[in-house]
Amino acid sequence: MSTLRATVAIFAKDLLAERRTKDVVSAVLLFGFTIAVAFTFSFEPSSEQARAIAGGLLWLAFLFAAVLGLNRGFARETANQCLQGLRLAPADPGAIYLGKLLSNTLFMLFAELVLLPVFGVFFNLSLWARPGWMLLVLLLGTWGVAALGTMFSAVSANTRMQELMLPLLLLPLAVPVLIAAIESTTVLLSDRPLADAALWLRFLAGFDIIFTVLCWLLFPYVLEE
Amino acid sequence: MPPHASPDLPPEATSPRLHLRQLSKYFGRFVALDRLDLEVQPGELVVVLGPNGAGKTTLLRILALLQQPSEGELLFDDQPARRLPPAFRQRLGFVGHETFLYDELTVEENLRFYARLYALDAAAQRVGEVLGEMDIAPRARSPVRSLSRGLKQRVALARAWLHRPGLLLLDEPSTGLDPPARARLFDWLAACHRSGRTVILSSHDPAESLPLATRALLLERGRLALDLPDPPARLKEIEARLQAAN
Repeated sequence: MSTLRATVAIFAKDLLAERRTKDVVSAVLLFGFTIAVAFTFSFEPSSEQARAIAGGLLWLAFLFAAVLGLNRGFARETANQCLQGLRLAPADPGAIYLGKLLSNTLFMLFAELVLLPVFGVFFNLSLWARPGWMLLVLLLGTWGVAALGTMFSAVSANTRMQELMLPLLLLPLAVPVLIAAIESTTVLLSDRPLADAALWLRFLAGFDIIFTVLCWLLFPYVLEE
Repeated sequence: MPPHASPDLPPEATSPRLHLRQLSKYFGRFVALDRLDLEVQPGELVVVLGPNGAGKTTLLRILALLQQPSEGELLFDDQPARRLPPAFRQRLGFVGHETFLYDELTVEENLRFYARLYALDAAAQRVGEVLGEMDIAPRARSPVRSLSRGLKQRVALARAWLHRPGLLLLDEPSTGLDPPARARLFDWLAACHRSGRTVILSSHDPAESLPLATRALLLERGRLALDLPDPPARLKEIEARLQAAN
């Protein structure tokens, strides 16, 4: 019960802080928008090509923007050593991980939902032809990136090159999520049957469950000095 | 911080007995604490003195369960610290060099957040009480980033006092406070002590802190150089020893 209360408290605190500063969402949006513009002018694809490559470009933009957001999100805990304050609380240290994971996922999802129509306009694509499935892919892909990213942002917070360390740790391990999310999105954008995406969606769900549990269990050790 | 701020002790906030057995802490080759043996009984007010780098902060951080010893053992009520459940931290309150406060949130929002983390009943009421006790109620709606160092320190003390812990660990708590606020701080510490709580604080200024103390410890290069009862009666002796260590 104390874990749940602490998780909700940390999540609510992050929402309040973000509502006040808009640090994470503004950084992710600006970066994602810049990438969308750069990709559009670099490729100028035909309609057929756009459907084939948009999934990849979309998730590359989301992933790099997420790295920026995750760094910003954890900077809040390193200022004034607030993370130490969280560690003093009489709750399972895993609650810190779960609270930060929820807020990171929400901020990234929000930014992706804003960026998606921008990509749709630039690439002349209807990204919401299958809205429920698209939302599911976004949720599973974003959760997977956030599950790893929250863990590694805590690891990199204790290093000197924090901003550099997070992508070094996160990007190699996020490759499976990236591939599955790209493949699922590409299926949704094409005329291929949904069954083609089923395997990738199952993979994403499995990845999310395994890495969320693993990171939650390991997080207390990451916090120890 | 009025001297009457000495609330009754709830069962979960009773003072634990502390025992350090041959406790050492290394940072690479640097020995921060060197085979410390120490027992602190519930209700003591211990002042830890020592020059910079003597190990005062490391000792307090280990007692606050924020750092693990490299060797030796820390026991609370004869239980090894590493085996204690997270709920045990309800009995600890810690103020370090950093405030652990979120700059973008107001004073009240910070305290409410910590009250929720500590699962306090009637959190809003308790936050109102500590705002009054620490004399920061007029700044409750101010963002922490807009406060002076001294006011931030008072909010940090309020944060550590929210859940009325049985063991208060304070690392140079008078840092940044002006003389009247320092006087109120030590009145408040005396009241905490009178209520049966254990207080362990580090200080650079024996004249300020020792009149309250029931025991003084002097650390030198991580070693316990002096462990004296009744420090107010031995102020000159302790000051001379501290000066020699500096």
